[in-house]
Amino acid sequence: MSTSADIDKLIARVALKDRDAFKLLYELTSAKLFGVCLRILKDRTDAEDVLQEVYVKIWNKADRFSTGHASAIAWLASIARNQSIDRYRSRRPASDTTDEMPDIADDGPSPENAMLAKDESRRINDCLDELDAKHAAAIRRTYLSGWSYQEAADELEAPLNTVRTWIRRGLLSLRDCMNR
Amino acid sequence: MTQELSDKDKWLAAEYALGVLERDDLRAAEQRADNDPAFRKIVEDWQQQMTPMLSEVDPVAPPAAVWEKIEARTFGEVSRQTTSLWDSLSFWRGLSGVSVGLATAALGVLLFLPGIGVFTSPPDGSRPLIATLTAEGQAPAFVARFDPATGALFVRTSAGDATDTRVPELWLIPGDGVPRSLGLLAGAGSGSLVLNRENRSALADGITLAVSLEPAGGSPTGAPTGPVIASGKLQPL
Repeated sequence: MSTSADIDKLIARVALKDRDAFKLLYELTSAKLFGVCLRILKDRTDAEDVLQEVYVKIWNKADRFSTGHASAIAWLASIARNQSIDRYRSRRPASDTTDEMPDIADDGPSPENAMLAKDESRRINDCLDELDAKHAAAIRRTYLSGWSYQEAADELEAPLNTVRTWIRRGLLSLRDCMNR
Repeated sequence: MTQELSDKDKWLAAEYALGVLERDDLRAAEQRADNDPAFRKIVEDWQQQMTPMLSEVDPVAPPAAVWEKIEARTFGEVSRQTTSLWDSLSFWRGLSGVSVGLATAALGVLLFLPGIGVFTSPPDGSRPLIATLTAEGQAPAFVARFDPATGALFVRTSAGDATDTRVPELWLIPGDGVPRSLGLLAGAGSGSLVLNRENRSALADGITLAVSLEPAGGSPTGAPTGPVIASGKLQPL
């Protein structure tokens, strides 16, 4: 049994509107998701509001979570990140990042659909370590902070297209490494 | 596989999962993710691969008020009903056998997977405690869950005798055996009690909780005056 499978079961019960399962899911996951929200929003009041939205969304959308695809943990985390990023962006005007750049070819297989095993976090760190340091830092900091390309460019003090290239090249190498 | 998607689509999916898109690109990606299963699959695969990066994020316990608001928004109406599926005896029997069993199993596994990184277990002493309060030979009448991290004590009450004008009062029986009132419980449904610091620190593994029936407004003496209708010990979830 893996953790993810247990969270899967809880979400399945939440989909059936089982309030005890929902409460337990909250107890097991809220501190982590609150940390994720805080990291992006850097404001406690906003993060508390967003955490509320996150769990209301989990309650309402649990029936749309399909166990065959993303792991339960990835699903929960992506809801927390997306809600936080939405809130963060709504606080500041969006920048224009529509300028085009040549596409980097992406012919690789889609990432494996592995469950989050206990060595996952070590593996992704090992893979990030293999990348060009600039690419790895761009991906890690952008992901954790919920930056847009423009914000990443401002924070990393590099032109937007350069940052996009770092991130895209980094993502391709990261996926190749993760699938090895 | 997803050969039907162009490179441009694949990047849109990857960048949506990373969270870097804004404005038109973001709206386009959201729409695709909602309507195109092949696109959604790529987004989910990337989310899956990126999530372990969150092992760097420290868990922070949210204040109890957040859960109270979530509870009010998600099942406020249900809580106010005096009888419902959730209050039926079969539900309570099921809860004691299944929910708590699963809860224990889930936590057992979680707590022993330190490497998962994503959902880190709380340190010892801050694990939630649960007590199932029953009268001898009866189905559980109350379930209490105490979260030391937030100090919240949630209590679920099954349907009581509606003709009884007395109210259930929850007591903590500490080591000295002298009951201390934790507060009055709703006749049915669930609610949370606000505990003072002294009572919070007294709630620990093995401590007994009990419910007595008291006159409206609670025990006039500060000690239980009516019959004790249920009791149970707090245990780690």
